[in-house]
Amino acid sequence: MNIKKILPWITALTMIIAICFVFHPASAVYGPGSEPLGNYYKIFYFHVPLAWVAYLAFFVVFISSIRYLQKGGQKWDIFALSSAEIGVIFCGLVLVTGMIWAKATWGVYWIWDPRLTTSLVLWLLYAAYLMLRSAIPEPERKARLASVFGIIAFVGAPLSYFSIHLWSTIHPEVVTSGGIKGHFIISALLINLIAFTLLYVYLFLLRVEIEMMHIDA
Amino acid sequence: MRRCLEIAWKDLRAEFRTKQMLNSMLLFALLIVTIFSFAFGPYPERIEKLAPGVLWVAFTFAGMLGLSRSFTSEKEQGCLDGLKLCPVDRSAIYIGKVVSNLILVSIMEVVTIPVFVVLFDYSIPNLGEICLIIMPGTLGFVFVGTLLSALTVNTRTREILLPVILFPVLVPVIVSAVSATTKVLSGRLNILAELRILGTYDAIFFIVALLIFEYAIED
Repeated sequence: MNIKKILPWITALTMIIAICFVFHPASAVYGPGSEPLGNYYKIFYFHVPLAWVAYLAFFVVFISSIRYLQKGGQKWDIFALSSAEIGVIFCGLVLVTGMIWAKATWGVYWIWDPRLTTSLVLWLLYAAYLMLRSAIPEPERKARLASVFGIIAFVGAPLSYFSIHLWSTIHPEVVTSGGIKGHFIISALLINLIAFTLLYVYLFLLRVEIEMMHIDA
Repeated sequence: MRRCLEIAWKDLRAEFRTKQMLNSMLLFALLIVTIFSFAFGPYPERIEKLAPGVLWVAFTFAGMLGLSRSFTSEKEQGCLDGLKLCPVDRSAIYIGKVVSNLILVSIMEVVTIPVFVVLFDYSIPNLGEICLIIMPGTLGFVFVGTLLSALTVNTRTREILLPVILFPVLVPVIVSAVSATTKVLSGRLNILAELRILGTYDAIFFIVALLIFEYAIED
């Protein structure tokens, strides 16, 4: 009970610290030849955590769907629904921040790169998931069929990534290629990841609570 | 296995009595190819660039019509309950439906290719390799399509919902099939990467579908 009261405050506090880190001059990102990449590059401090939260949310949908089919129990369905809604919103934000960043870096809003396309496909998959839910009036059947689709959607996502990989990629491999150097940049990214994950947990609990009230009413 | 084939045989026999689904699928595929040839003008340049897209759009859109009917026709006559009462495993129903859908979609594809060749005045090179791509592509399409068709049959807006939920899942099939077809038509035969993805997709979704099909039609 206590954690529910504290959580919004912790989230807000971490968020504020995270934003301070992002706007701190020391968090500027440098390119391969240590030339500064400009302030617009700082959008990646939001872009990466948003993407992480979207993937996390879709993974929660997947796990909840499996649990629902295994054991039943309305709470798993509520978890899946709440997580899918948050995931769609965060995935949409990934696309928007990605487009802004792409316009500044590559000069175009959109390219058919594997990661961009996979994010778009993910967004479409879970938007379709929500569509499917809204098309079934009976709660029990809705939960069951949505769980089936929740599993299919998550299984299909990595495959679309690999299939689109057949085309060439220009998306930066920021984390693996060592583009991030320096403790400050890493801690700025980490604190943003933590802040956004907390935000996810908070929104998730809130959404679950609302849905529980719906059922009780 | 024999039970699966019997379900497929029942479906095909019912279908060939009326030919309702097959005819509408064929006509729709023909329409798509025609509309594309109107859209691109009578003699488009670089037809080998357009061909893969036109073919796969025709296959998937026309195939979708057949898939959406596959369980709806059962539902309308109350046959789905009868089918579920059969003393067979639920996965046998799935495999039976896959076989019958596969045969219908293949017939549609076999008819569409010559129509495409005639209307676009384009003789397809490397036809053997094209078939090698179409086979796993169609398998993946039918595996996922049959499962999602069973899923949407009990929803309110099933005709609209099936394409909306099927196409995002089909992205890997469409991307790799179109990419492989483009390569083959322009004479490059290194399509192993695409075939591998199609094969993986088919295997994964066949197993997943067998595992969760019973939840999709249970009531």
